[in-house]
Amino acid sequence: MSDFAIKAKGVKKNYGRFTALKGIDLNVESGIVYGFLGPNGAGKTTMIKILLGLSIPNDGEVEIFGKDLFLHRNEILKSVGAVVESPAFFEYLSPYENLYHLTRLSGPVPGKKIDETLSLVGLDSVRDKKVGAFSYGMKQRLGIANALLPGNRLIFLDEPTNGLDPHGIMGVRLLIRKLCRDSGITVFISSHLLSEVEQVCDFVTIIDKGEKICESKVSELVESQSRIEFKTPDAEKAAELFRSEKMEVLEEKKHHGFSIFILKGHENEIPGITRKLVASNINVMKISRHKDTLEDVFVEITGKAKTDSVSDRF
Amino acid sequence: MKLLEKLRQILFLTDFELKKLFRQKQGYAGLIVIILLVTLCAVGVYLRVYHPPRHHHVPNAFLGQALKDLVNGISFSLTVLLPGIYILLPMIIGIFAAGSFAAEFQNGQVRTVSLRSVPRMSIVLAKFISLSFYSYVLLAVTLVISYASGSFIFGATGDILIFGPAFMGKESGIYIMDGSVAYQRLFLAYFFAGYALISVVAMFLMFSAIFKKMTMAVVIPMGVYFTSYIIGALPFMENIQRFLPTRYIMIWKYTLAQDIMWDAMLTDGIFLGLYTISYLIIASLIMNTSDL
Repeated sequence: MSDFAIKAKGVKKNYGRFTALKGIDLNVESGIVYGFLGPNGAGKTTMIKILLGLSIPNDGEVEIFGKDLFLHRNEILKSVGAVVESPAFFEYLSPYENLYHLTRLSGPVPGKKIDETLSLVGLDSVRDKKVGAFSYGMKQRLGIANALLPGNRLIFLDEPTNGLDPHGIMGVRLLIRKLCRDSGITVFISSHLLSEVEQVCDFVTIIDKGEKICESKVSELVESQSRIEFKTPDAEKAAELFRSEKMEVLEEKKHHGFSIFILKGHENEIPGITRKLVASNINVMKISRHKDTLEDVFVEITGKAKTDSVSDRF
Repeated sequence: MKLLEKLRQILFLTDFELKKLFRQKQGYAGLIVIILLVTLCAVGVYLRVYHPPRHHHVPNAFLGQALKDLVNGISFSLTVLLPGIYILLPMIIGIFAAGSFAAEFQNGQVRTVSLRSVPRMSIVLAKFISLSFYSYVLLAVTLVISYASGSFIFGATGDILIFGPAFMGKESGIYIMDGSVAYQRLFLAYFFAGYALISVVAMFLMFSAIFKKMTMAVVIPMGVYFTSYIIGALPFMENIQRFLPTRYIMIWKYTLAQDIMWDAMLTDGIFLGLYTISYLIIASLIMNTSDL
């Protein structure tokens, strides 16, 4: 048995003259939550579709659980589930009926297990309602339930928190971690939210315009992108201190009479910096870890400036 | 073992497709249209039999009397089948086939099903089987409603008048079919009408696989179907008529000849079957190579 749930090598996909994927390699270990990040149009969904055999690549190889996807697709899909793009179900049937009919195509599944899965995603109270009456968030949760059944070992979730309310988002994130921790399920998530990946994923690949631009453990990526945000009315004194202490100022901006500095550094350094600021008689309005967005990381990794026009950046 | 597994999957998929067909409220639209067809036909035949046009001369007066004596539930049911199989039932079945496949492509449900461990060809096959079954259900409903209403208005049994020009073409005459074989012919006509309808199902499934959009999957095959009919009726188009997909749809009419025309039925049946298989093969190939 391979230790890798997914191995992809040189996956290319063209749509006419447009190249959606330019030779993507992936190595996803079993039993982890793997994040697949990129801005809209980066090629995330195209890659997921290829990994599920929904789309045929122009070139490249894909192995799932050590088996060639294009030779053993039906066998592989018995233990693989997914929500791709938006969850699409049969609206005139209940969630139970949808899951019953879809799941038994992969193998026998007891009704009790369907009920348990509906309960897991919080849809047990609407088990017999028509899916047509569901909100987008409820359909998204039904999609996750469908991806889990009949007892899948690998699930693909394409933007799983889209359309969910904050409660739902938290619930889905906890569920993903729980599935990985308790059941050893490998979860492959595509997202454009760094915060989501940070909270949920162990490993991350960032792609843009069909190319892989970064592959790293999430903890290492976040570490490498650590920032400290500091707000003060004493801009000059602070700038002088940072110069003398050889602290790298990445950005300085004005906001309602205050200066906000973005410093390169880890949040562990905040107490030491605070002591130095106070000792230098500099007023501290706020000092905290600066939360990077995917765009920040993206800009950092690709070397593009925030001042570039939107079309140049993405 | 693998064959058994595949058969099991096709069975499950077909069961799913049937459930979808019969659980949708629009599934009953076909029934409403059939009731409308039978009602209009009943009024039309009733007026023709009991209130014939006054200006008609003697031969038609004779025909009028013959109609009174020879119209019953069986002949009425055959009369309903004629407009039904020409336009109405293919239209209903075609729209349902496109709704079951192209609309599901468009809305993403085909992708949801394809994420399961099923060969894509099985999806096409299951839709074909379920829609073929639905075609026969619609025909059975047409038969039951038309026979019941015809029997109520005109009587249940007896010899029937076969108006050859309507069924068999202009060169055919009018003759009386013995009541003892009329039931057999009625059931045979409906059975082969069903065989023709499943070819329409396959054609609409093929266009659904090609276009993957509901509007195109309805408009294009409808255009092909009706254009074929029009060309098929034009006398100077003889050389192309044998290749038209509608050429063999009227296979059921051979059951109404004085002696059933088995040879013609066999030939037309084989061509119709080949058309059906070709449509399904094209649909499966496109399905297998499409990005979902």
